[in-house]
Amino acid sequence: MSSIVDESIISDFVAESREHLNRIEPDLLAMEQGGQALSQETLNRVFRAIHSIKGGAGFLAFESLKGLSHAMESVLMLVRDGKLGVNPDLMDALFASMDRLRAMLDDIQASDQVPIAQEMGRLAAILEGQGVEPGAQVTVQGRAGGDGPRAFNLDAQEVASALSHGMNLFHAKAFLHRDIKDKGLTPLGFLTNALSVGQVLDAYIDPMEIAGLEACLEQDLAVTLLFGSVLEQDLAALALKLPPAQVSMLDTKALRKQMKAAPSVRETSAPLAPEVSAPEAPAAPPEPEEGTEAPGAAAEAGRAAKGDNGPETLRVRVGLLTDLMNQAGELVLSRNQLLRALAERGRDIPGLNSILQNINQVTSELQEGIMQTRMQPIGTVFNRYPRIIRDMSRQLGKQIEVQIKGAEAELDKSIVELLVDPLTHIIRNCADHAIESPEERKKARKNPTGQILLHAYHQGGQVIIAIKDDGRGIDPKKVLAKAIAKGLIKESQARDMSEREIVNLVFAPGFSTAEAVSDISGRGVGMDVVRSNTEKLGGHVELESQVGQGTTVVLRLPLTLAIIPSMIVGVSSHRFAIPQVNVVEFVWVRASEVARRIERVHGAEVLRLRDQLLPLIRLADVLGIERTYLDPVTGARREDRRRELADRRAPGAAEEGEAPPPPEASPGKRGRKGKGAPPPADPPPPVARLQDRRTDWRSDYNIVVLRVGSNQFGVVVDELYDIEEIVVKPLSEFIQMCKSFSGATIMGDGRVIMILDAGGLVTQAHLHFTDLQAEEKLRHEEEKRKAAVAASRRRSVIVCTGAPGEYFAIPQDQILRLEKIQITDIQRVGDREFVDYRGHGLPLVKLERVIAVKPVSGGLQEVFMVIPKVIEGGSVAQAKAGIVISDIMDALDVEVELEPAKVDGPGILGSAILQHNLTLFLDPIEMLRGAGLLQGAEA
Amino acid sequence: MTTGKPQLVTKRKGETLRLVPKSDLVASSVESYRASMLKAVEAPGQAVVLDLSAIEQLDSLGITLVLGLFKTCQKAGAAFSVEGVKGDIVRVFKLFNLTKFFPVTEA
Repeated sequence: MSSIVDESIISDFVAESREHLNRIEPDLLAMEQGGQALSQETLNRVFRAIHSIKGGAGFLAFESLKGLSHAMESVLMLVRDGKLGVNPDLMDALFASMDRLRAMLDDIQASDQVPIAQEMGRLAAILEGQGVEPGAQVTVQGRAGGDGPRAFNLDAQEVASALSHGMNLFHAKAFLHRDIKDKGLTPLGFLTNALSVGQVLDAYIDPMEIAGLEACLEQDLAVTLLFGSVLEQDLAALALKLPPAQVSMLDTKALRKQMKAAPSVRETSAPLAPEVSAPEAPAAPPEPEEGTEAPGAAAEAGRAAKGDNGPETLRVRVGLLTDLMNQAGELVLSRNQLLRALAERGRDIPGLNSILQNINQVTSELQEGIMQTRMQPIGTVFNRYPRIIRDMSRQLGKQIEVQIKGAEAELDKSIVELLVDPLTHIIRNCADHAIESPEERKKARKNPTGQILLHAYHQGGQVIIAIKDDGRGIDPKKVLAKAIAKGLIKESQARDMSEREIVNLVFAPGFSTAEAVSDISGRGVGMDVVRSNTEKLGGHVELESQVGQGTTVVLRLPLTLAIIPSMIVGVSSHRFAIPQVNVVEFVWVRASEVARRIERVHGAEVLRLRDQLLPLIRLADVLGIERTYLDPVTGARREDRRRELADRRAPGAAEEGEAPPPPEASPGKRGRKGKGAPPPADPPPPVARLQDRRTDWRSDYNIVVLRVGSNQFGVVVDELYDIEEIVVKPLSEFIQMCKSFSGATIMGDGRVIMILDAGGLVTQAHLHFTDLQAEEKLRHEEEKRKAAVAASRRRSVIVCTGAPGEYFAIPQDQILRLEKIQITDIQRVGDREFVDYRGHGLPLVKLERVIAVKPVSGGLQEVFMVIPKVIEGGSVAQAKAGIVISDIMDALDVEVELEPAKVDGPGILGSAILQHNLTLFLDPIEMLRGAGLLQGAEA
Repeated sequence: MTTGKPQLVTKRKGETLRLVPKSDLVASSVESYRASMLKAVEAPGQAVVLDLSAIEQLDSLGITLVLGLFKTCQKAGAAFSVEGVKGDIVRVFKLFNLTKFFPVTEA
């Protein structure tokens, strides 16, 4: 490598070559999938890219790079010319070679040390398999006759084919001595080289110029070529090893027109480049004549014809953009300070307000514009996955298709770069573990080709990236078993977890469900890396899975890391910024409601918010800041000794140990709403002294509800200020380990404040959402149970009497019939009594025989018989016995809380006062069972 | 590759003059061959045949020499043809479209 070559040229070459490779990777995949229906444009793009790399490498004398790209080019040319079909082996060879090129570009100075023998061998085998030297089969029609006109004699079909292949046509002049012999080439070598980069459509030597034997050797004869190639003009000259002045591009548009006009003409002897000027001025480019255009214009026209006239771009160093970004950040800060400082002066200085407004707007737009320059489409990351999946599916014997949606969604460059690792990990997992083998998929009646969808879209100031597969899904049972086996959770915790929570355990550190460590993934580094990397970017990752249906991993990411809208909150005398993406809502709990709405669950405080339990943390406690409160009486800021939000104390207790300082000693008071704060409280009226802090508005609670993934929690702060656009400054390495903070920023008033990290706060506060969810579940069940009990308490009963003054209630739903019977109809057999009921002797139970009550009065002529309802063989039936009562008093719907009855005996549910009488509630079936009259039947 | 001293064998058969170079027509030999050829074509007859069956290489100067010979024959009114041309050299003649000037017969 020549040392005189400027380093910047080399680095430009490397950057361009990398871009070329990145750009053609999707094209190569398209080649493989396209098979025969391959578009020429795709092939040409690939060819041009590889050729550019070869050209640059040749110029900069990177021999290995040049050699490998040249071999790739030869293979691609055979494909382009239809002499070689696309097959997986060919593509493997091309992909492997492309990877080698990448490896060489990674350390360009050592590129010659990169072993390429294997790749060269594969490409050579492909070329040899064809039995042809690249381009050897191109034939040129011989022309009949002697001195024809000095024009190209063209085969119309050949030209048409060249044009349809997207080739540019060039008029090139090569001098036999100067351009061929002096460069150490043979005429055949020159032609072979020309054929390797394009198509020689015609060539001739002007016979008029040929001198006789006497003078011929002193003469430098010119060969004129009509040459077709996908290369642009400058590259074509480089490829032909000719001075640029000797190569000019022809107007293909004119030629196309001409060919359209006479499509059937086989021998188009159109004088495309008539009368080639004699080599008097060989160094000068041929004059643009009819049918030709100035090279620049022609090149331009060529590009325009290919629709390649996209927006102009300029290569800029990322470092420069980062600097600009930082400067813009500083400008935003200064603007904020300026606005703050001059806010009050607007009236004093005429026109100041509009100037400030202007500065404000321009700064915002400038900052936004600079931010845009760093934005990159997520497609730059997505596009690498089809290739990875292609290689993996071949390796794993699976059929996998990758679909990409929303590749144009933009993210800050730094985020895009940091996304590569986590996304690669997820996608490898998809291909390796999630997508089943074709046989397995067929068995499950699925399409044998698995699908992986990469989808990016904007939502609420965030970019959402969803990676969805239609594979086997994650089995929560397996996950749970593994998580318990690895000690990640306890069995007791597991009982309360939802399936969604269980599958999300795969993000826990040290979790890997791969039963065998494969070559591709499952190397012991699990999805926790995905989670930690995503969280580092200020994002979150979640997973949803359905067994047999597939899995979706969702990453939520901020658009940029540099400037973020944030809520500014205050605790004691400190302020903090909370990124707005984490903020769900603000909840204001009046001081008087604190005790009712805030409670403790498993030792942690929770807020009951719309029937959900929201865990609460006090920012002061998490950050170790001394809690203070504004004394409602004096307005002074004082230490808060309450340990819990809902703690109460007797009025006046504050005075016991905390004599209020005189009003003049109180620090500046701040209102609940920051800027819009009410004026400082006036000296309190005497009655305020008696007022409890619990009911004072200064004791109201400001709760910021934050979201971390799918969990939410509340942060209790003292004050809420504005939402501001803050410029994120990275934390110094000394405090990078402070999990609660993600960065710092400078406020408009010059104050440095910390930016809170929602995820870090959760860790720091040891919040366990699963405990709470379990509690919530418990409570929910408890409520259901209570409701059920309440419903069951409400019952319809028949109130009846036994002995005078003794009242009983029997649930109506347990009674099948009530029959009046005459005392005389009761027959006695031994100590049992019977009544003739529909032709059967029905045993009777008298209350006094079963429970300790007085006997039904013997003086009655008629009594009532209760026949309870039983279920026999699944249907309602009448019990085989009746209970005797003396009278029926009422049928009531009652809601009573039964108390344990003072009376003993089977079938007593309890007692309650009904209509001023103590009434015993009976369970007739239990009663019959107690009397030994109910067997084989169930209530 | 045919090396050795440039040697031009001339055979005359009727009106046809056959010129047979015995080594490659390359930079190192062209001067010598030019001298021999100039002598041989002083009386070209009706036809001149350049027999390249002994040569394997033809460089830029070699081509120039063949074209010079062609031109001289043309001026003298003699038909010119090239015979016994081997594979690669045929390709050069064809690709440069020299076959439009004179017949080229493959070996």
